[in-house]
Amino acid sequence: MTVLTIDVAEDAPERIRTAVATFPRSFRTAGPAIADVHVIGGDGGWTARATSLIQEGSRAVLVGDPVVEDARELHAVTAEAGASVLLAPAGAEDPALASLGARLGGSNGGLLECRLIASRSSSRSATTMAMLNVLRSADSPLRELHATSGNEHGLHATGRLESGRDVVLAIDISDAVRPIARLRVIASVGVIQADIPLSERSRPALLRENSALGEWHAEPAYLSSSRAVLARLHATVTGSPERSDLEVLERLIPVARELSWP
Amino acid sequence: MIGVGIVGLGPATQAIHLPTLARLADEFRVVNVVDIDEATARAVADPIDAGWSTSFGQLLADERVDVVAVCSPHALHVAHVIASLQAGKAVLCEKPLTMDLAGLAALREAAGGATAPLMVGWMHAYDPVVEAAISSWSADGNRASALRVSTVLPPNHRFEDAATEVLPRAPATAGGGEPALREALLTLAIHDLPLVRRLLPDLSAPLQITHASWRAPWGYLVLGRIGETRVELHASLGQPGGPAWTLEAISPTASLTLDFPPSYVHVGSATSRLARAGGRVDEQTAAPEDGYDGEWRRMAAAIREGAVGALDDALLDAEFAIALADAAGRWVGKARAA
Repeated sequence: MTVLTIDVAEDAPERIRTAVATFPRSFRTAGPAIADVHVIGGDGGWTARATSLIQEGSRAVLVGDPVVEDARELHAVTAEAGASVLLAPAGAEDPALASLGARLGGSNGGLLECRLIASRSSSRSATTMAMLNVLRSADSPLRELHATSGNEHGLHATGRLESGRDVVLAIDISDAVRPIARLRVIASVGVIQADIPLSERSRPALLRENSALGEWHAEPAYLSSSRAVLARLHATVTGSPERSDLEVLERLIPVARELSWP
Repeated sequence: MIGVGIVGLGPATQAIHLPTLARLADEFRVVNVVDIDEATARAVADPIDAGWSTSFGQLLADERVDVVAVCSPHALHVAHVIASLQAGKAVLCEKPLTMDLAGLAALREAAGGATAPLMVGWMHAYDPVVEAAISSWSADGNRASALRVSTVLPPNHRFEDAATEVLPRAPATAGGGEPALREALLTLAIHDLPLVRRLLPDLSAPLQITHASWRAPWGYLVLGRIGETRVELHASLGQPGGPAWTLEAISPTASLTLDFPPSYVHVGSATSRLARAGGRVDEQTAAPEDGYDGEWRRMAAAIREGAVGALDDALLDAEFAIALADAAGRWVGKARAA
């Protein structure tokens, strides 16, 4: 297996830092000047930092908990350099999202409810990105918003996904439970529900379906979202990248900017 | 910073202790690792910039090592723990501490003269949610009339591989028949026997086994009584499907249920549910820190406080486990002879 040198910046999410330690055969820590790949935090200005790293020779930059930012310049620099930028919002790579997408792929129409609980200390922009990413992974990108209403405790909105499915969104700010995304699709074929944890060191996601055929529960998957995105980082650099996260981001930005609350 | 040396670099070290110690990098640094296999020792040491060798003596002589994690095969635990204590090192020994009373006696003597602490890594006992739940149970004055532990798990490698990149392991050799029930209790039930002991209302009461059987392909069922408390231990390993690991305590007026995640995965603590007659229920969801974090933080505190000898009833817990396993083994022997 190819070992990549990795630098994890001070502001990178702790969940990703500790996950790097669980890849002793894939990554070896190195200083920022010489590392193959870099992990940075996603606070404001991350696109400029990632651009600099790519221009200085980084083969890939992983951005943890990114806020919404215009990434067109970064996209151009990355394409010219043949490098990659991976985005890791909370819960981004939970295996249950792919399973949910596979279950939803067999149904059309209906209403998808996505309710996300975020902690009071979380960044609103990063939370918005996390929700939009969950929707994209579970079904398809959010194409249009119809109505939004929000205050300091959260927001709700209605809209439509690229798949044509209607969606109702809610973000609730609370410390009563650990951050989580709860999705439910009520379709003609039945009801599919998923509880996706958005913090590490959490029990695996719950995924279940009720239909005329009975009730089905997915087997719990113990691969954490942070470990999954690091595995993708390694595969992206050492193999063929399967998708460009920056292309996905560009499609999410217009909607993300509409989703705002005081 | 507390220096850690680890002897035995199998899946428990790679998937449990190294990820845990990486999370606790503010307190610990792994400085020296030992395995009988040189390639394994080097492969584990290199990514974490630790010294390595195939010599346990070399590890004990390393002054940077403050605490030794004994993760070697069970048969070596007594020797490794005693040597570590005699070298002035703190010890965190994986379960089982020892498989017999002779080993326990030797450990008791070594611990009595130790200048550093000795702990056993029964992580359920150091789980923060479990500790809080048992405190609440006891504070209510509950006396368990029944204690049940049920452990149903798929094969371990499924969880090891979710936790870290585990080095390829040698294929298991064909077994020579079913493992002894006694050994199964001292390697699996051992995770929860310290909690069973803490929940027993009358520790002086005699132990009576009423049933003990091996359940193919890998499992057991043990029923017994300790005073007025019925105890049931059940296990079934290697089954497909999701894990289910539960400890229940029942009294005439309360029910405590502890639900544990499988070993190796780092998905937070157990959950607890304490229900009382009259309808009041206290539930605790999983906390981010688990029993692995708990046992290492306990060790850090013990070293800072200058604690010495066996901590937290480690030897009493080991004695209880051996007594129960011996009694169950004798019951099986008598049943077969009858």
